[in-house]
Amino acid sequence: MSSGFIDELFLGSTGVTNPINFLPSRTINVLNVQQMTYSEVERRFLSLYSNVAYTYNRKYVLNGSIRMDQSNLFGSDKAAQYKPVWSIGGAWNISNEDFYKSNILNNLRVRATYGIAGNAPVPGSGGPYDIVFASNSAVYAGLGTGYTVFNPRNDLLTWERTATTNFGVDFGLWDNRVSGSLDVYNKMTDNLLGFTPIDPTTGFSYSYNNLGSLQNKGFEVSINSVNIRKKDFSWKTVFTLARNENKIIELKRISAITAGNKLSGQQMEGYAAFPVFGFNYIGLDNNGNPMALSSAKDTLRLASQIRVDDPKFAGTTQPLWYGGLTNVVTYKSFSLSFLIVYNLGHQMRRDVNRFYTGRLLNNMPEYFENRWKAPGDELVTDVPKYMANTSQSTSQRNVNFYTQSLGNVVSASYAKLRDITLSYAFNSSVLKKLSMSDLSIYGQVNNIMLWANNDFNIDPEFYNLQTGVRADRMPAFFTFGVRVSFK
Amino acid sequence: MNFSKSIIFFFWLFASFSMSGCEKFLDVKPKGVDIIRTTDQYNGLFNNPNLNTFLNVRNQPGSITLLLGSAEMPLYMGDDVYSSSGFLNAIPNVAFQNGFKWEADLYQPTDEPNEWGAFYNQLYPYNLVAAGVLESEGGTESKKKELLAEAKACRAFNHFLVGNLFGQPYNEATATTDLGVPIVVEANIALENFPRATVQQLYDFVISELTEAIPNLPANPYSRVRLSKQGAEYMLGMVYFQMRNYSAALPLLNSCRTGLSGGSIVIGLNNFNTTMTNPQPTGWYTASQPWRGASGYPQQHLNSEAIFVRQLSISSTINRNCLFVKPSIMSLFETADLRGRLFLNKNVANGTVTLPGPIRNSPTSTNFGPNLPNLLLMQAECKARTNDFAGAKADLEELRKNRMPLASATVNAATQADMIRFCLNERHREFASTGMRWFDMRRLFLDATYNNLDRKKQFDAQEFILTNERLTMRIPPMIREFNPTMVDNP
Repeated sequence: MSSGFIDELFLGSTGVTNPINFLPSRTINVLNVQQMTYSEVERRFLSLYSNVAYTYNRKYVLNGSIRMDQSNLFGSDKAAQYKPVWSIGGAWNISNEDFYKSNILNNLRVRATYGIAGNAPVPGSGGPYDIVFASNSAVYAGLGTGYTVFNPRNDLLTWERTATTNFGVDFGLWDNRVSGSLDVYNKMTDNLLGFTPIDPTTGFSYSYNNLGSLQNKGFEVSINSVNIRKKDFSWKTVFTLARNENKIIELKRISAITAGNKLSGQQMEGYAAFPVFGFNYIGLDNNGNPMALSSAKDTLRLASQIRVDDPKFAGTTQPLWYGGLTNVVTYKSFSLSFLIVYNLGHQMRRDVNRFYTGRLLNNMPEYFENRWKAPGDELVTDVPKYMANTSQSTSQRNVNFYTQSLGNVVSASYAKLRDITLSYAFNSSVLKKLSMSDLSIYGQVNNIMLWANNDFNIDPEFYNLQTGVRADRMPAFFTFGVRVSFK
Repeated sequence: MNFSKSIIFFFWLFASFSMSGCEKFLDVKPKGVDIIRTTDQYNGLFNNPNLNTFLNVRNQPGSITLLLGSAEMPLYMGDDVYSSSGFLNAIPNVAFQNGFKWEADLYQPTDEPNEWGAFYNQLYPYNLVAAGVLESEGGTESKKKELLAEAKACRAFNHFLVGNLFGQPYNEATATTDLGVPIVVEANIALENFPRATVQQLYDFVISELTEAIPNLPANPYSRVRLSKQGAEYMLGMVYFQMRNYSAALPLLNSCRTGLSGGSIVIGLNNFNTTMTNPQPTGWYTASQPWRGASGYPQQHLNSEAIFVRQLSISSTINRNCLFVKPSIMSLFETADLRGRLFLNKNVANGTVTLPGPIRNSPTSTNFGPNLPNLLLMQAECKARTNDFAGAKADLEELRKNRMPLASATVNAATQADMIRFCLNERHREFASTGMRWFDMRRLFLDATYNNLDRKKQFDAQEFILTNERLTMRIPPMIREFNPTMVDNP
């Protein structure tokens, strides 16, 4: 008995009583063998999919698709089973019309689609049955397998449904030297699926539920251009630009929105999915403590005076504009490419110093030196005074008026050179001698910040935009390489 | 394929599938994750470890169950304890601090109230059994009736307990207008806006459900975690006892006691003369480590004093070292009373911290469900109140001789009033700082003669005063948020 389970029966029989804590629920041993459990999963799905496209005279296109899913997981209730997803669309190739004559805009096509997409509830997450799992507890030994309900029956659960309307234009100029597309869309998602709090009086405090609706709208532009096309020299550019704006139309919540919910960026009706809120900070009083203006234009000094309307909406932490620019230049065997990405129009909380009370444990930023120190300083500084006593600081003032002020919500826009690559490919005569199919050498630089719209050396890509905390930044890095492939 | 042909094909395909055929294919019940169909499975719903403890749990995404906490508020609201800011303010649960101070509003708006959830959570499986067991597959009629009776009795008992937290105390004169708590008899998460039953409706429901259940339950105890006839008789007796209807309670309690010996498990009192004087293995008490008290006290499902386990874990309160038993209560213990060894002014973990007063250090759970000590104490008090002097004395001495040497166990009471007061003091000695006192406070505050409430509570230099309103907890803000029409308590 040198290893393995401890044989308590043996220990007991040689005169050692109660040798170890043989709490039946915690110990696996020869006296308490965990009962084996097994399970089998049987799920049935029936899916139907159809796709139809019809083109008339290369000018008019009509297409449609439909899909239906049925499963034993949804129950046989018609309302839950028959949720087809479908789309219908049409396009008009204007440039193929007889009347169309243009040597510049050689390709022009307009499109429109409307479709319904669905998201089924996670299988086994509720529906027409109470879902249980079996458990064997030693407390109930000999009384039969135990069952615990982990997903209650929910007859009201329905599919998440997204209706998308899309209008688009495809175009080509100068024999498609420049081509591109423009899409404008509006997506309405209803019956968003998620876990929502419910009345504990029912026996459950959370349930998988339809919790609200969300709207996304915006447009996307993509342009491909061959700027120069010569024998030994070419230059191509791809430019993309997208704008997206979202808004939560409806959201079930457990409790009324509080000012604190707003400041922590919780999702709420009527706002973007990731909002930032801030206080209307109006400077320091003659004690060096921050003041803010309430929505009713009163002066706020203490946390207890804050009402739900006082934090003001200051934007969203999701980029409103984003896209990229790729350029590829080739000259003989040399090739130079670079990709610039950009994210614009979103906001972040600045990582101002939040230390104004208690024991000093860290190095302080330089501007902590500019804090209020004596009456009169409030005319020249915005930085609150330091108070050694933490409970006095809490009872006499609210430093968050300053740290979470609108002025400390700053632009998170930036553009980065994601990579720039220079490579040289050896020509075929060299390759032949070495019996290779490819030999090239390259050098690459990644992740160079070109521009960030803030003065605080914040890289918004490595930053918690909502709380205003820096994360470890990935520095620019260099790669050199040789690519070889043999025949 | 030209356009018109493809359209025809497309519709034909749909028509054929959607009209017929596939319904049987899809009616197969999902396997693996199971659904309840058979009588054995309904039986299994009772074998759920979450049901024998009053613990608030939250189901989370990914089938994770989070334990939110034990419904320990009654300990904090007891009039048998006091505290000190340095110890009470150190505990993380602000609601408990408020409860100790007998404040009106205990919970924050975002608090998931454990004292509500712990009792209502458990109703769901009971209601599932009550709704479906008679139509279940594979069981005998008598087994189905037995499971139905168990479900009805268990859910009645939970209603009784939660009604004694958030409902007004039972008062015959005003019960038809006083508000109790919602009666929930349907396992359905879509239910909304629960109305509060009146106290009379609540007690009528509890009494009729228990009365209906008793004849169909197993004739004698066979398990401490499954209900027998005796367990349900105790429950109904306790309900009448709480209503101060002692003559109705007594026959039920007597019948319970008589039937205890006929089952397949041994139900008897732990003899403290052995267990509280000897270390393991024969006892629970280590003289060199007195701060650990009855450290070997058995888990409730192995405790021979338990008739049916519906326990409240009080281990976190014990470990917080923040509730001290009042000197007036400690003075009730005779020197020879071995229950005194369960209280010491040292922290339980290692005895290195000296506390301002004695705390209860063991056992770590209180059985709110049927148990032998409370059965004897209820019997004794009912007998004393109905003038069975000898009977009361015998019941008390039966308990006391297992708590102290025989020489000290004798009960000397000259009058009926003395005997009743003896019973009430014995309840203090047996249940100090376990949460049981809360039920006595609500039972006795309207008792014209034997109201023994101590309405003052010391907290450093402060003193808190208990008003009658604070014998009923207010409805937690989260529950009112979900039930906007629910009326709150004063």
